[in-house]
This record gives sequence, C-alpha cells and structure tokens, in this order.
Amino acid sequence: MYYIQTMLNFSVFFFIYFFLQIFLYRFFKINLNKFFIVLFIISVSAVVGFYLYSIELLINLINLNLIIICFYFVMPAIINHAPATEIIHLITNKKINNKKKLKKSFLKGRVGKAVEKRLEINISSNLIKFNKGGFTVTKNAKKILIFLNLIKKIYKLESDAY
Amino acid sequence: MPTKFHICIIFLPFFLVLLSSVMFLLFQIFVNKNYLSNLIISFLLIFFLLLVVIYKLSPSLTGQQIFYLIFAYLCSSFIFMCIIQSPISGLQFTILRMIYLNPGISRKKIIKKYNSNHIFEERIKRLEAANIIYRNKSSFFLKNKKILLYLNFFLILKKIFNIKN
Repeated sequence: MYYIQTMLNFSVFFFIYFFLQIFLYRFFKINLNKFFIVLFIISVSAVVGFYLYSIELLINLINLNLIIICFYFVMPAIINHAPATEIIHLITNKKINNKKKLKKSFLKGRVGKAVEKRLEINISSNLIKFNKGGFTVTKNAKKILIFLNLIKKIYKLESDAY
Repeated sequence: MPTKFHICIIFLPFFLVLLSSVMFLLFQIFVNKNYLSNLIISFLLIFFLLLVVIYKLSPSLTGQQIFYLIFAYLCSSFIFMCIIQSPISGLQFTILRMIYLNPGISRKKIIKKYNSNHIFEERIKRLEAANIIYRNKSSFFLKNKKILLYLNFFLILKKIFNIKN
C-alpha cells in the first residue's frame, strides 16, 4: 500500500512538472530546460538534502532531479525535428517509399533547413560566435566538445560526419 | 539519520549505471555488433542484476526504496544513453565540431560542406545498417516496427507541445 502511495505522490509531482512545461511552452514559448535553471534546481536540492537529515526526503530529491535532467535531454528532441525520425515518418505515415521522392520530400519538409536551424540554436546558446566573417566556438563549447570527443574515443563510437 | 545501508541504497543505482557503462565498453571492444545493441544489452543485463538485488534485499527495503532503486537506475541509464548518442548523431554537435576544426568558417561554407543532402544520405545508411529500414530496388520500407512506438511517442509530444515547423 505504501509502495502505491509513494508512486502516486511521485506521479503528482511528475505531472505538475510536465503540465507546467506544456503550459509555458505552448502559450509563451518558454523552455524551462536551460542549463543554468537545471543547475540552480540541483544546487538548491543539494543544499536542502544536506541540511535536512532525512533519507526519505533525500531519495525524493534525487528522483526529482533525475526527472529534471531527463527532461533537459528530451526537450530538444521534442522541439527540433530529427532527420532519422522524419525519414521513418515519411516512409510509414506518408507512404513515400521511392528514394528520389523520399529525398525530395525530406529536403522540402521541416528538416530541410536543419543545419541552418541548428546553427541558430548554437548562436542563441552562446556556443558559437560570429567573428570577422566567420564562426568560432566559445570556451564552453570547447569544453563540451572535448568531453564528447573523450566519450567517442573511450567507447569507440563513430559519428556520422566530422 | 542515514545509516551505511541507506548510503549504499542511494549510491547503488549510480554504481550500477557505471557497471553498465563498463559492460558497454567491453561489448564495444570484444563484440562485433552495432553500438545500439551493445548499449541496450548492457542496460538490460544490469537491470536484471538490479532486480535480483532488490529481490534478495526485499525484506529490509521499504516500498519507497524499491521505487527509488528502479526509477533512479532507469533515469540514470537514459541520461547515459543520451550522452552516448550525442557525439554520434547530434546535429548540433556535428556543426560545433565542424566549426571547432575550421575556425572562422562562413555560413555558406558550413552549408556547402554539411547540408540536408548529406544528412539524408547519412541517415538512410545508418537506418539500413541498424536494420530499421530495408531497400527493395530503389524503394525503402520499414523493417523494425518497434521504432514506430518511438516515432509515435515523439509525434504525440510534439502535438501536445504544439510544435509545427
């Protein structure tokens, strides 16, 4: 019984957070999933968890923070259109199977300007800056790239390009 | 007041994700399969181990702790999978990497080097390699219907969030 109550309590928070995100994004185009907002919530939780010596509270706080981090990773996939998902969507829902037609629809569709859109996102996230007619990466972007390159090397992963 | 047992419970899901990441690394080195299969297999094996641990410790665990162990493991694994996926197919990171390797590159050159044409060809290759789609003459068909769950999940979320273009 207590187990079900725990799950229900947790589901309530999950739905409040989920519907708050929907409300803010649908009506005001505000995305709560920003790095500094997530970092702020984690910091506040760490302080609260440290000063209130309660195991139940600590467990709930960790779960809440994990949900917030998961949302941080899921949100870009919701806002942006992923190319692979678009291809599957065209094949299954739009019934476009021929390669030439598929490519034409892909390029004309919402993913056709994917590179330009991602460039804009990188600029607005301060990951790249425009300097003397060209783009350069910022210090933060360098750190992210070094980390991701390390992951790529350790796990022997191959990226699509570059 | 947290005891040693409580501290073990708190760190257990994260330790298991670490174990799953080591297992994934070993699979990547020794098993000649695609990375996604290796990732999913390592996640499932450790999840099974977690269920065994929960079963063994169940008399001394509360409902909240069991829920925490499962939930924290699932969330942390998801975060790990996202981190692994980012350098492989993250479009945003591919562009960042290109600018990092070619400082001062112009918008025109970026789009000339990496555009939707390239992306289409790359993704078709990857979807074929992952056995998600297959080619019959000059047409493509869906092979793995499980991917529709993922597709529909995101289509519903896009509708809920009112994402159009």
